[in-house]
Amino acid sequence: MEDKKTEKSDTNYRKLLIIPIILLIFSLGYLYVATTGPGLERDIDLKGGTQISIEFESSINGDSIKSILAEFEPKIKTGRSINGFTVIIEVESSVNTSEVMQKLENSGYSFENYSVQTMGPILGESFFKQSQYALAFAFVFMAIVIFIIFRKLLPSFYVVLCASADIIETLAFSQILGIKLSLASFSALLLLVGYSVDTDILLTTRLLKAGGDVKENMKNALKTGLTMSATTLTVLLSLYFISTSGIIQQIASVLIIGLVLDITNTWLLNAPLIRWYIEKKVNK
Amino acid sequence: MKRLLKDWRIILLVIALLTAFYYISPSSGEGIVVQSVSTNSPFYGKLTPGESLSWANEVDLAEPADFYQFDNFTGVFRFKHSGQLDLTNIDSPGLGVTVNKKPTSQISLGMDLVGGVRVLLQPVEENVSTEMIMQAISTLETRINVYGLRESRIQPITDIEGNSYIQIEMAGGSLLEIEDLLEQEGNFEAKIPISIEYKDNKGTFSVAGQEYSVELIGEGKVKIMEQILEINDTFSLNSMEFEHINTSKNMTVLAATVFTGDDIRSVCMVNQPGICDSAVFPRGEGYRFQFTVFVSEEGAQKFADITKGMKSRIDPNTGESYLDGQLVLFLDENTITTLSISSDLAGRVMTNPQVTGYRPTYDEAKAEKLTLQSILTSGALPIDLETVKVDQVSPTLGQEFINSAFKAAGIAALAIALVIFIRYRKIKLVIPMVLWAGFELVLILGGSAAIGHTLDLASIAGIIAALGTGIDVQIMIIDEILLGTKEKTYTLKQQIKKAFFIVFSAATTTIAAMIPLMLIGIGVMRGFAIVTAMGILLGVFISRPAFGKFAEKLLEKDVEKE
Repeated sequence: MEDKKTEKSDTNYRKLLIIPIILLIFSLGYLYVATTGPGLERDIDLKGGTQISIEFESSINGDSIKSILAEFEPKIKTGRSINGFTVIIEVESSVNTSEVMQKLENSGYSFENYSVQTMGPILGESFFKQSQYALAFAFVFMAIVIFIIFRKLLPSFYVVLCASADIIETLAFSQILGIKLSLASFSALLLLVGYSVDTDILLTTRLLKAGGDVKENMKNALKTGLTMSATTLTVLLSLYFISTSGIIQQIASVLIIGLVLDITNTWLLNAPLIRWYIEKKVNK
Repeated sequence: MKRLLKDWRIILLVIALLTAFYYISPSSGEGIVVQSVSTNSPFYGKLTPGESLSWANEVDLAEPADFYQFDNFTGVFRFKHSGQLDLTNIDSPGLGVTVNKKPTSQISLGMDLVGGVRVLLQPVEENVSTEMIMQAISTLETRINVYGLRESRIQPITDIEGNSYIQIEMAGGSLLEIEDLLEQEGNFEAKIPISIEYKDNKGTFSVAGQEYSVELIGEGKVKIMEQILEINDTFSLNSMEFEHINTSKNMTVLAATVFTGDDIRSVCMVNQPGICDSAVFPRGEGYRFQFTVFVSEEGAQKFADITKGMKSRIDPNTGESYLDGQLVLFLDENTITTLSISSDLAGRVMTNPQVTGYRPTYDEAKAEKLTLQSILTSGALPIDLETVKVDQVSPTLGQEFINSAFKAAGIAALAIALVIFIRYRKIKLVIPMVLWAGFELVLILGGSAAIGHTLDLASIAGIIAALGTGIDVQIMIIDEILLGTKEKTYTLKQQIKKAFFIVFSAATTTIAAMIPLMLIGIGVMRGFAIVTAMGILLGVFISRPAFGKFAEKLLEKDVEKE
């Protein structure tokens, strides 16, 4: 009797797998709809165009800027930054940016802090293509390294599966949350390929190489892994909220999303799978 | 503690930190350094870029403005460079030197952090040769020197698809200045000076073999062919323009314009044997360059008229014979350089003359050839360029990025310390962990300075990513040690070894993921990839093993207690 009870509760953990599987299917579905439909939201460095970002000390009305710059057909976004207010003006890459800024100054706006980024559409497309290749290559490199490290088919596959889920879900959720794809967010995805497998390697090593109780080992690995994720998240959150640079904010936000999803995937996907694998082996 | 200091891992870390400090070489940031010296500057050959300037004509130089106040100075100029006293004679106003405030360290910051503008240009035509790209770069550099435009870094870039680009980066510059640089074309003229010596206030010069008489009639006044000419006056002779350059008691110098931009039909840029030359090859101890210029009939005729019957002299260095008069090249009335004319060209009508020169090294010969070629084409770009990417950051914004990054790093450090304290409840663990993160920061900055990597925003993100992995590793090491104390299945050494297996595996996957990032998008995110990979490498090989050793000693007592 006693035995049966423990066995039953022991297989309960397998039910946890349902959460990451739903997440993965949802993300794949979202990406499928997005890519076959309107396409992924891209920042100007991957699609071309001009972006002028200006910081003001006082609050700025986006509509009045829009009407002043009407001839350039701009898209205006306003937001708060730590030192004031930011206005982001997006125009076609053919627009002369000096004229835009001159026009704003003539209309009585004064500003000192600004940045301008212009990207030709063809070059942007080419960067987008290159980024996709880079992501694919990084992923293959990572998978090879994982197989070399563990030399066991299933555990290695689980780690790679977990990393793939991280990348796919992060891509989907950052799109849903309005973070556009850019060279910076692609870099964050690439870093995530490396970063996210840290905890998977930790988990797999602890369980495969340590003797003793699987559950106890798992608990220890979870403690270490969560501490690691907690410190990393703290760093990323302070970067996201304090840094004023667009590049750094984009990298930080993608990594934050990625790490949260990685916690789910490591402990609800990889952990049950590897436990299942070990228990099966022991039973044999 | 003593035994710890003798451990090789700790020693290695200390040595690495000292080396990093050496490369960063922090300084007080007082004084100025030379940024560039133009070829017509009175300081040319005396000052070299990167040198420090501390004192000039009784004034201590602390700010660039202290030096620029001498812009209108003429006369003997005394100055101290690299700690040594030197002097030069400034004949006409203009220093021809740009200076910067001395940097506070050897770490160079990217355009997005100091402010400025960067543009990426792509040739409009496809399959443009490397030679053409280099020629275009040389032309742009010549323009900067001739027109005194802001110092820029111009470099060729090739992406992984094989497309060629030219990137111009102007620190502190604006887009308007870049547009200026791209549109600036000049008027080319080549003149040959003629010296006339007086005997009893009378002298002669010859054009096309015919003698003309000159009479000195007053101070700075001469009479040529019934015309009275003051200094800077011009006259025509044989459909050629002459300018009265200078007159002293016993000599007058005239300059004959032999070629204008219109006379230069084309300049050979790519070596095509049998058609035209454009080459650099070893000769003697150095390198000789040569290229063909195609000039108009009229230009060739004017050249022949002036050089006919001209006296020659032997160059004591090369033993070759040259004409007395040299060909002086002008761009927009600025003297750029002078060319010696081989004696055997005297009086000959040559529509495809060779320009040759000699320099001690291949690079110098090649650079000189490119410069001459761009001057002869009036500084016109050999290829059409299209702006495909522009990045502009105002100087104050760049500074704000740096400040906010520092602020974020400080707060992140505090937050990490808090998380670690909550988890371990041991202050003695918190301090070394934060300290080690500081060590890794120094190592990364030192590494960047050592490989000459320019830190941009992406690199800062990379530093943070690398430091983040460092903290993760520390947690893994500490947990493995603490775990060992509970289980007693492994010795402490084995436990740390296991931790390092995880550390090295994780590092390898991250570095593997960074490699493709170094290649894409003309390297926009290369800084991120390089710094992340470098930080992780320095971490796993230098600082993290030392941390393992240190943590082992630190926790030894806790391990024994339990």
